[in-house]
Amino acid sequence: MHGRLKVRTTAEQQEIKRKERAEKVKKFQAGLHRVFQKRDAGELDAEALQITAQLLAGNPDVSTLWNYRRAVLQHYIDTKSEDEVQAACVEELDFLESCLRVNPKSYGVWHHRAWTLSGAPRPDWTRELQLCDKFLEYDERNFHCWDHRRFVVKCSGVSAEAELEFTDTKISTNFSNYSSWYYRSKLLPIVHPATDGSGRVAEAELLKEFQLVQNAFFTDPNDQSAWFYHRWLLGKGEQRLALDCIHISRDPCRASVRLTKPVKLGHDHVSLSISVDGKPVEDCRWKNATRGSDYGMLWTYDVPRGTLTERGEHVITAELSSGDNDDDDKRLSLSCTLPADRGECKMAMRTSFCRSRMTAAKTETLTDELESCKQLDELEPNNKWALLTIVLLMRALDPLGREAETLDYLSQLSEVDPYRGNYYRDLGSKFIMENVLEQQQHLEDKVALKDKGLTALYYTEYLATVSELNLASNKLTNVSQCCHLQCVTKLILDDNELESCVGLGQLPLLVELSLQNNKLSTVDAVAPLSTCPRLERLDLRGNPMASDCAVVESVRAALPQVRELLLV
Amino acid sequence: MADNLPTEFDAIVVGTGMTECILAAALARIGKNVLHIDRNDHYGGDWASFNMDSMRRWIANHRGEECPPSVMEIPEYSSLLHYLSINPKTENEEAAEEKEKPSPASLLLEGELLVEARMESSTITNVVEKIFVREKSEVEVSKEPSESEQQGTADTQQSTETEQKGVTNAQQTTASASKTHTNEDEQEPSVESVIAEALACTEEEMKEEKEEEDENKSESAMDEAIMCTPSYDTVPTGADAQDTHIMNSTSETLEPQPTADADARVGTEEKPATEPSSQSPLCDAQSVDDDSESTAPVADADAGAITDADTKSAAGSITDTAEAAAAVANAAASSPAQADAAAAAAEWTMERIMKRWRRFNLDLEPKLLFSRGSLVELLVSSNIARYAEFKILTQVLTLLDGRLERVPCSRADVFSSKKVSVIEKRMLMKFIQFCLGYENTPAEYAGFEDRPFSEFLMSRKLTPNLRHFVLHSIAMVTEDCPTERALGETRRFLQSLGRFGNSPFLWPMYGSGELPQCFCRLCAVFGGIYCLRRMPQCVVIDAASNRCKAIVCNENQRISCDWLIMEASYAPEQYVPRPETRRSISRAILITDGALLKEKQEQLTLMSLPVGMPGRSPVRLLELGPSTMACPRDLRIVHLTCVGGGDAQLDLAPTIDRLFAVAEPPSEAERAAPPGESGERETIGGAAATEAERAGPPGGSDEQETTGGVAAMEAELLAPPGGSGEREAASGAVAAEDRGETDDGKPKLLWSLFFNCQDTTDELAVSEDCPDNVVVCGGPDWTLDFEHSVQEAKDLFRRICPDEEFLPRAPDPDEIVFGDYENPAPTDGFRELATDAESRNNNGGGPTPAADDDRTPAPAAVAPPVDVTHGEMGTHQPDNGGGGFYEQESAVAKDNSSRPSTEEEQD
Repeated sequence: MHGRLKVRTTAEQQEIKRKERAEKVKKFQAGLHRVFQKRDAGELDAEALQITAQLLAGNPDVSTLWNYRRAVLQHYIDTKSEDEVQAACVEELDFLESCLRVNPKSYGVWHHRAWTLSGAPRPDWTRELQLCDKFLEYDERNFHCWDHRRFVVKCSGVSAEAELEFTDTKISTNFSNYSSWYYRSKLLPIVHPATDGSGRVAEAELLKEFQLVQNAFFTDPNDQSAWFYHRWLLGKGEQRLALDCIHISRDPCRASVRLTKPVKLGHDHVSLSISVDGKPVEDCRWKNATRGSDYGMLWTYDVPRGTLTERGEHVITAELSSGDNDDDDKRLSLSCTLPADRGECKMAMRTSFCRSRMTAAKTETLTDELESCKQLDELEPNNKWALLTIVLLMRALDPLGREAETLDYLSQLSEVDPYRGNYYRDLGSKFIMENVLEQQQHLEDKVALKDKGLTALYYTEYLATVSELNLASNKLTNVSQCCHLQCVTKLILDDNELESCVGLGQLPLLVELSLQNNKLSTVDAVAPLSTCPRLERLDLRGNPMASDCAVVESVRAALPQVRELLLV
Repeated sequence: MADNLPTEFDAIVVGTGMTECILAAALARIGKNVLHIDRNDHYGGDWASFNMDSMRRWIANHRGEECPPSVMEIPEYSSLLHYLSINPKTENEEAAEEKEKPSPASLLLEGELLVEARMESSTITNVVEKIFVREKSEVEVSKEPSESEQQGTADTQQSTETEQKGVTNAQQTTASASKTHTNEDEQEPSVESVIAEALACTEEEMKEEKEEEDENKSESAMDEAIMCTPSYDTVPTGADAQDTHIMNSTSETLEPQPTADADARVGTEEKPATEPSSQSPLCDAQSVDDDSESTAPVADADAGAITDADTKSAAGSITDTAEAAAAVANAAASSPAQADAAAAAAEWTMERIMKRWRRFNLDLEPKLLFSRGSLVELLVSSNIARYAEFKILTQVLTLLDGRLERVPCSRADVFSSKKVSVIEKRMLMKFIQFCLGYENTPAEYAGFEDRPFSEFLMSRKLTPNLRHFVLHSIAMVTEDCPTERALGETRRFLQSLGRFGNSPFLWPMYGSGELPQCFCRLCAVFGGIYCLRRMPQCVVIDAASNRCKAIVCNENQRISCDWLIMEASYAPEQYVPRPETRRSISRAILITDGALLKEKQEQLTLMSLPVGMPGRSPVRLLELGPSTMACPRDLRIVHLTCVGGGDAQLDLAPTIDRLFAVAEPPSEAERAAPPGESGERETIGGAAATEAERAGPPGGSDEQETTGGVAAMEAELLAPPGGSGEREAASGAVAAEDRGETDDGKPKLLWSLFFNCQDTTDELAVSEDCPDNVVVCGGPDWTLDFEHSVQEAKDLFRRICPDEEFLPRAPDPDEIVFGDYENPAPTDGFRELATDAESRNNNGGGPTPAADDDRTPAPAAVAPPVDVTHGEMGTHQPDNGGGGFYEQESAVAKDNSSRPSTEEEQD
C-alpha cells in the first residue's frame, strides 16, 4: 500500500545493534592497544590526549587511561607556557564535562576534574560551582558531586553562609539527602559557632535546626537521614583531649593515667610523661590496658623500683602534650600526692557522663521535641526512629530521673526492631552504667552493679581504681572490658552468661574471683586467669566444667596460684 | 479553492476536537484511510487555543459581529499567510462559487436519501469581552508614529544584515562545536536544522517568535542540552536562568535576532545601553547582543540594558559581568530621564497588548493532564508525546480564611510548609498514604462509603486546615461528595504526584489546544488527509440498509466512507436530538498584570475555589505565565471554569472580584466604541491611567534573576525612590514579580472574556434512527483533564475496529524504512502532499543513523513526556541533521494562529 511506513522489526534492530556493538568493541580495543604503545614509548603528546579522550568518552572508568592523561597534562604544565596550559586545561574540563554527562557518578572523572582544576593556571571557580549546581539539580544525592563541590568551595573561598543556604534549598526539595544534612553539620559550626569555643553550634541556631529536622521526620518518619541528623544535633560534640585521672600505687609500683579520649601514644604528637617530686622520669614505657600500645584511654607505667620510696611522701605529676593543643590548658598536667604510709593515691577530674547543663531555652525546646515525638509515637506506633529519639531526648533531658522510662522504651524497641535487639540492650547497659558512674562520681572502692540487666560493659576505664566490683546477676556474655580494672582485688561475676574469661587476665591485684553459674565449660575458657599473679580464690561452681573431672584437673594444673578453687 | 478531495475513505472524521483527533489517529495508525475535516479555519473546534488576534476575531464571530481586520493582513505580515489558515475570501465570493456547484441532491444514487447535517455550531453563548485598559497611553500616542516607523526600518535593515551574519556564525560554530565536542554532535541542538529554519523563514517576526520558542524548547530539553553547554549561566536557579543558559548553547548558532518589540522602546533610547556592551570583548559580541535582546523580549525601556548584561554574562562570558555592569551604569548615567519614561511605558494598553498578539495562547477549554492519567499513558504508549512539550504545574493554591495559601500536597511541600504544624504534617502524610491504597483497607472508611466526604474527614480527626486542603484542593470535590468517590479523586491526584515532579499535573506548552493536533500529526504521518473549512452539508444514507454511504461537504462534493465520525455539534438533529437542558460550562479568560501569589520564580498555578452554594461545583482557576507561552512577559493568563447556571459572567464575576483588582468603569469612556458595537461590550479606560504611576522599576522580566552584583546595581540604578524597598537584591535573585500590582497586592485585571460552552458530553444520546456506521462523540466536558475524551475515543474505536489495537506505539524516525515507492503517486494533489510529507521525513529525521545513537537515545525514544518538567519531542529531535520534517513542521506548527497538523493546507 502506498505511503505506508514500514517499520523495522525488532530482529532487524537487534542485528543492527549487534553489529554496531561489535564494531565498537573492535575500535575500542584497537585504541587501547595504540595508547599502551604510545605510553610505553613515553610519548606525551596531543595525540595521546585525543585517543584517550575517545576511549574515555565511551568508558570513563579506565583509570589507566586517566593516569596516562595526567602524565601528558603534567608534561604540558612542566614544559609549556601558561596560556597553552590554560587552554589545555579548559579543553580538558570541557571534555570531562561531556564524560560526566554520560556517567555523572564516575570516580575517575571527578577525580581527574579536581586534579585538572588544581593544575590549571586560571581555574574558573565560578563556573565550576555552577557545574556542581547543575549536577546536583539532576541528582541531589550525587555524593561525588557533593564531594567535588566541597573541593571547589574550599579552593574558591565560597562563604560557608552561601553554602549553608544551598543546603537549605536542597533539603527543601528533598530532605532524604544524607549528603546535604552532612554538609550542614560541617557548615553550621563554622557559620554559627558556639560562644564557648567548644566547636559546637551556637545554641539559637541549634534550636532552629531542631525545628527543621522535626518537620522532616514528621513528614516522613521512616526516612533515616533526618533522624541521623537529629542525633548529631543531640550529640555532645567531641571531647577535648585532656588528663582525666592519675593513680599511683607503691605495690605494684605503678602509675596509671586516664585520658579523656583514646589516644595512641607516640602518634599524632601525643606524648605522656611523668615526674616524681619534680624530677622527670626518663624513658617512660606506657602500656595500655591490654599491655599493648594501641589506642586506649588508660595507660599504665610500671615505675622502676626505687623511684618511689616505701613509705615516704611523693608528688607525682603527669604531663600530656599533644600537637593539636595550642592553648595552655591546666588539665594538661595533673598531679597527685602520695602521702607517707599510704599504698596508693589518686587524683581524678570530675567527668560528666550525661549531658552538661542546658539553658532554659534548650531544655524547653527539647522538652517540646520529646512531647512531639511521643505524639508521633502515638500517631505512628512502633516507629523505631521515633522511639529511639524519645530515648535519646530523655537521656539528654534527665538521664537519672527518666532511667526507668528510658529502659522501657528500649525494651519496646528491641521488640519492634528485633534485628537490632542486642544493640538496644547494649545501649540500655550503657545508659545504666553512665547513671551509676554519674551518681558515684568520686568512686567508692566498692562498686555494685548487681542485677542491672547489663548485657555489655562500658566505661570500665572509669572503674580502674575500684577494688571490689560486683557484677552478679547480669546478662554479660563478654568481660573483655574488665581489662581496665587495674586495682580490683575482688570481682564477682556470678549468674552471668560467660563462656570465656578473656579480659580477666593480667589483672595485677585480683585476689578473689567468683564466676558461679556461668557457661564456662573448658580449660581454655579460664586459661587467661593464669596471668593474674595474685589470684587466690576462684569460684567456678555451677559451670558446665565443674561436672567434668578431667577438666577440673586441667584447671587446677593451669592455675597453680589459686589456692582455693571451688567447684561443687 | 475549488480543489477537490479524494472521494473515497474508510473513515471521515468531522471535527478536530480531542476525541475526534484521537480517533482519527487511531484509525489511520492501523491503516484506515482517514479524511479529517473541520468547519472552522482553525484546528481544535471548541478545544482550540488562540493568539490574541484570532481570539478577538473568534469573539466577534461568536457575537455575530463583523470580524475585525486581522493584524496579519497588514502588509508586513502578509508573507505569514503562508503559514496561517486564513480564509482570504469574502462570503460573497463563496456564495458565488456555491451557485456554480451541483445541488447535493443531484449527487445521490438510486436508493439513497439525504439527511441534513447541522451547519451551525451553537455550543458557545454569552460571549462578553471586557477591556480595562486604555487603547493607547499618552506617551505612546505622542511618540508612536515617528518612532515606530524609524524603528521598524532600522530593524528590517539590521535584521537582514544580522541574519546573514548569523548564518555564518552558525556555520563557524558548527565547526568549532564539532571540534571541541567530538562526541556530542547529536546533542548539540542541531545546528544545521537551526540554520535551515533560519533560511526557511525570512520574516523577522517569525524569527523573533521562534527564538522565544527555541529558548523554551531548549529549556524543556534540559537534559540533553544543558550538558552540552560549555559554560553555565551565572544564575544557578530559576526557570529563566535555565532559559538563558540554554540560549547560550543555541545562541551562537541561531540567527541573531532583530530587536524586540518596537513599542517596547517607545519613549526611551536604548542605543546607549546596547552599544557599550557590543564593544565588550566578546568572541561573538554582535550575536550575543542580539540574542540577549530577544531572549528577554521585554526590551522595555532600559530593561534592555540589564537583560543585555545578564544574558551576555550567561552566554559564556562570565568574566565580562563587570564590564556588562559597567555598560549598564553608563547607560543609566547617560539618560537620567529614563526612569520616568520607563514608568510611563509600563502601563498596559490595548495597543501594547495587541502588539504582542502572537505571544498569547488562549485556550477555550484549558485542560490539565494528570501525570498518571490515561492521556499521558496514551501519549507515551503511542509515542505521540514527542510531538508535544509540557510544563509541570508548580503549585496548587487555595483560599484559606481569605488568604492565598499553597497547598502542601507532596512530601517536599509538606516538609517545607510553614502553615501546618508538625503533627498536622504527620496526619496529612498519613492520610495521603491511606488514600493511595484506600481500596486495600476498606475497614478504614467502612460506614462512610456514601456519606459526605467532609464527615469522613472529620472522623479521621483531621484539623480544619487539613480538611480544607484535602477536600477542596486535593480531591477537589464538594463537601457533600460521597466518601468513596472522593477517595478515588484524592487517590488520582496523589498517584500522579512525583512522576514528573512536585505536582500531579502537566500543562501542555502553547496551551492544551496543542494536544488534539499532536494526534492529527500522527494521523497525517499515517496518511490521514486534513481539510479545514469543510463540513458535511448532508449525510448520504442508503435507504434500505440505513447505513451512511457518504457525505456531501460544503463544496458540494460527494465523499464516500465506511464510517462517519462526527462531533455532536455537526450531527444531524434527527440522529442526535438536543436535550432541553444541558450542562453549561462557564468560562472566563483573564489577562492580568501579575501573579496571584508573589514568588521568586514564575509559577503555574491551579486553584479550586468552592462557591459556597450547595450542589455547585467549585470554580477552577488556572494561572499561566509567559514560560508556558500563554502570554507575553509581565502578564498572566487566568482561566476560570465552572459548571454554572448558564451565565458565565454571573457565575464567575464574584470570584474574579475576590482575587483581582478590577477597575471601576470610568465615568466617561475614553475608548470610543467602534460603530456597531453592542452595548454589552464594556470598555473601561480612565481608571487605568491613575495606576500609571505605579512604583517599581519596569525593567527585567518576571522571573528574571540576576547575579548579586548586577542585581544590586540594577536595583540601585533603576528603582525609583521608594520602589527599591520592594526589591530584595540580597540573595542575588531579584523577583520583579511584585511590580505591577495594586496596593492591596492583587494583580490587576486588564482584559477579560466570558462565555458559556455547552457540555455536549452531558446527555449525549444517539437516536435509534442513527445508522450504525455513524459515530457521534462529545465536545469538551467540564472536567479538569482529558480523561473523558480518551475513554470515549477508546470506546468508539473498539466499536469501529473491535479487533484492532488502539494506537500502538508509533515508530521513531530511525525505525522507519523508506523507499516503498513502487506504486506511482496518485494523480490528485492530496496524495502528493502526503507523499511529500513522507519524503521530507525521509530526508530529515529519517533513517540517517546517528553516529553514536545508542549512547544517548533521543529522550522521546525512551519515555516521551517523561523527563521532569517536560517531554520534548518531535520538534526537537536532537539527532536529525538536516532541516527535515520536524523542524519545518515546528516552524509551521508553532505559529500561534494556526497550527495545522501537517501540510494539508489548502490554497
